[in-house]
Amino acid sequence: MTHSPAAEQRVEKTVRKPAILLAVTAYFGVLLLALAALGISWYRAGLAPDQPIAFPHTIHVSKLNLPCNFCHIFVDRSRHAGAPPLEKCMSCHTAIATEREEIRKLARHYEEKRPVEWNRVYSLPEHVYFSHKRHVKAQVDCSECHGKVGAMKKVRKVGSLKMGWCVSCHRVRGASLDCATCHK
Amino acid sequence: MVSLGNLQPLSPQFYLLLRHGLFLVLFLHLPFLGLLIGGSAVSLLLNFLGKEKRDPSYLRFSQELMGTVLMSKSALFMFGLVPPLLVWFIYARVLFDASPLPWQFWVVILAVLLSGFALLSSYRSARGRALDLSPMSAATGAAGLLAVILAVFLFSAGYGILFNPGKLPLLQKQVRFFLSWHGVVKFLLFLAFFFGMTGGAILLLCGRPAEGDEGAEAAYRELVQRFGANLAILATLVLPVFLLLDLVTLPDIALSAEVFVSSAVVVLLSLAACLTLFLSDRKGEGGPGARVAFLFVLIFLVILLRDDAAVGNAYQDQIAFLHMQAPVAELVHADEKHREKPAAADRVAGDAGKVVFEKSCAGCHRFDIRVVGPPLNEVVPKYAGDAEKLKGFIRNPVKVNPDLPSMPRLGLPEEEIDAVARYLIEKAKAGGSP
Repeated sequence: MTHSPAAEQRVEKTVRKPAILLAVTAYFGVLLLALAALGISWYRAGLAPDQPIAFPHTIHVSKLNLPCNFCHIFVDRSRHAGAPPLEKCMSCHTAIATEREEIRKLARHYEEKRPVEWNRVYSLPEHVYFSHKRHVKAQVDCSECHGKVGAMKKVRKVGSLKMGWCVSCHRVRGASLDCATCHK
Repeated sequence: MVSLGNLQPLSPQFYLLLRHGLFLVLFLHLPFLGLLIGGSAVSLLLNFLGKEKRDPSYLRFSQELMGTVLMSKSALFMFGLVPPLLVWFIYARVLFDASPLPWQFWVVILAVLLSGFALLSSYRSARGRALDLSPMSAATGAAGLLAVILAVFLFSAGYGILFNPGKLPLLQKQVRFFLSWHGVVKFLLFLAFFFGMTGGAILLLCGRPAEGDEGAEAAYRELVQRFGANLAILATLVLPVFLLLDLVTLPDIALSAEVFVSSAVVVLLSLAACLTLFLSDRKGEGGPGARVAFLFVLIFLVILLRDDAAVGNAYQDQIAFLHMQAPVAELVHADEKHREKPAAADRVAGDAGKVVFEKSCAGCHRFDIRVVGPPLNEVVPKYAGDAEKLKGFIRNPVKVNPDLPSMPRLGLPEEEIDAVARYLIEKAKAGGSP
């Protein structure tokens, strides 16, 4: 079958060109959708969640120079670093900054004996065994995993907590690489 | 050997200046290398095609292209070799941690670049002399091309480190940590940009008419335009894919809404470039060359702005810390400087001590009344002017009065303890008020 040049031009104009345009636009549309999906999953992961009380590490760590274990008292004796009991907060805040809204919230929690439900920033899946105590004993500085918390108005997740992230550090420090060390 | 890596950023402003400077340098350096890589690669490919098909117009195109992309030796020096030296210096300060990349790393990059430039220059002059190129000369060109690509790969790996501060402590212990998937993706992204820009440059600059048969000239121009357009189209299709992979491999702390939005802008700009190429009438004068080249430069600019924002996110806490530290550090520093001159020393020590007091003590202590801790006018005189004893207590507090909460160990640096102890004794002696 042969076409005249005029017919071919018509086919080019009415069929081929729109088809290519459609294909190109669809391709870029898919890429944009993928980008949006990545963005949404990043947003929903909530790497720096809002907290019920806006506790500023900036003031307590950087301005007052409190050591981490002044509040996170279990960090060198347990798997979990632990959030401090409200008594700890109130030992200073019965007197300090009592007029601030966030401190009033804290005081209400204390009076009503209602614990503050902090939102988790770091969490590990159930099949991972992790102990703060071990890492503190091995003299891993808190900032190596948690970053410069003293500069964070709102704490954000710094390390990925993925297995490769753990293993790299274990390897460099000569710590155990045995599966059963972390997967008990 | 003096290590540039031990330098610390002086102030938040200086830090920002350096970081933006880094991206300005890259904005000049990488497109330059990109044209060199894309141009030489296409020139070598055309040389091969021309020989296979026995078509001299391919060889002529190959020659013209090489003459276009490889500029003078001074341009090679200015845009090819000086920027990595600047980046070397900027890295040392922008990355905060000491010695992030050993000097050997940069020396290797420079050496590889230099040898690549030399080989490509020799290929270019052989290419310029005759249409028919000896296999030896083509091999020289290929070796030069590989060298420059290797340099860009190493550079991209080093560039990837910028976005992942968590890796720096590991990198200091083992050099192999400079390799990362993110660095590899950055390399591929750069390559896609390089070839896209080369395509745009071919459309814009190549296919210049020469004396001769008009029909043959039109055919040559058509060949050049088709080649340039296909190369650019391919790049517009591939580049956004690498951009998405880049987002996937970027560490979470480098991400922010800005990073996602600017990525979307890059995808849309790629779409614009792609449609420009498809819709333009390639045969007519004033083809899409200028528009496409401009769009690629814009794409690269947005990619760099995006990377600048990502580095800012990754180092957000360190920068905030810099802001918080600046005033105290300056005063303590001034205190140390003036220590030899006793008269001035007391005054400045007073200032430094006051700053430390307000930073670290005033939250719990006042001189006149009890806050959390006891009033200082009551407890400081117990030390009877013995600064050493007071410094011992600040260094390692013990509970004295069971009615009060225990004072935490603050872990202040020795010079701050010294300044604040002298300030307290001085102030309490004078019966200081707040």
